[in-house]
Amino acid sequence: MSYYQLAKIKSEISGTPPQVANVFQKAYERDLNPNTIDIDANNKFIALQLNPENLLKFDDLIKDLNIDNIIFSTLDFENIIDYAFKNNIKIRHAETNLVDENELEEFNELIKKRNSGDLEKFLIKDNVDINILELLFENTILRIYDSGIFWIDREFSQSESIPQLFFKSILKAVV
Amino acid sequence: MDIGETIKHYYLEYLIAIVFGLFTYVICPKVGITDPIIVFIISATVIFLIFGVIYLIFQPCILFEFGDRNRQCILVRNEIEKRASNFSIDVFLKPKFFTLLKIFFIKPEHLDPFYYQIFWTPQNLLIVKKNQDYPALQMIDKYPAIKISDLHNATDASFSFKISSSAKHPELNQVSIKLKRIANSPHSIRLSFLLWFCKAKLDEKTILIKRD
Repeated sequence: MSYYQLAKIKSEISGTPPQVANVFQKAYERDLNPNTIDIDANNKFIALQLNPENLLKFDDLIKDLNIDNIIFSTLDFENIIDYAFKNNIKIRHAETNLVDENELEEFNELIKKRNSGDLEKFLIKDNVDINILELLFENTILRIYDSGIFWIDREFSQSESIPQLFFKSILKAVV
Repeated sequence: MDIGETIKHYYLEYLIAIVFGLFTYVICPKVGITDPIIVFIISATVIFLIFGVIYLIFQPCILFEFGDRNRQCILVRNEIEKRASNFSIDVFLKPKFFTLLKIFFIKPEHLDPFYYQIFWTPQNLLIVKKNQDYPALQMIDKYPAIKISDLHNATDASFSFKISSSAKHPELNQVSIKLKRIANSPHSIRLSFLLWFCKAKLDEKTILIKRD
């Protein structure tokens, strides 16, 4: 199980394979266990592993990598929830700015009902901000933080097709 | 454009010309001032004073307030759950603003080139993303911006967005968010005056970026 920071490879270099490979190589040499996720020629992402050893110097390690960290807004979370509803992915938990118990109950009920339309209306009406979303798919737990960091209950590697496919889909929705 | 529309469109220019003419050819000669330079200075000063008084009466006519009322926001780079924070900015258009629109015969659609940009420096210290579709924040030069004409005659609206610290400038630990008015080349003297009159007041917000 690991934490990863999602970042976008700058569009100026994403069309140049040697430069993308250079970003990957540098990240690899810095023990960031990089994984690339290609959406299309101009949208390439990289997941970099965060661990207790590199967390304190993480920003220093990536500042010259030609990448931009991404963040997930509430709109992005809405798209991810919509994707999860349509693809039979379970939403285990969502953290929001809601404090009122009735509103929280209503929110959880809408998640259970898997109704995107009503959920969207609720989020807009009550100015709800989503900060963390936890999903379950194919026995894999994935927790997505608004700071662009995700936690996965196993190693995130290119050999695993399901997380790759899943990330391609959610990143397509947020680029 | 018919004659009525033309007068409405250029009335400010006509008004300035009338005040100039009145002082140059009637008032100044009556009180014995005939030196053209002094006459010009007096006329210009009177026009400046008239607009100065209107300016003092009408400002501020737009208020921007941060939703949570806290003057400070703390982002913690090394805490996964505290790297990002939600912001909302409430915009209030005071009745004075609508009076100004009437005075200058300006319709909301004339305000299209008119934005308030929320900015900080260096730009790549923070990452920003809008949280809502409507009313929508625009992104101009990678900074969030609020288009006044997007308010569609409402007197207030709330714009929500998310901010996170980037990996750039790890040496910096503080930044202030301020407001800047921008306009894409206003084409009439009326709009230029309106922009000058439209003083906005923004709560300034400091973002502290901690490492741990």
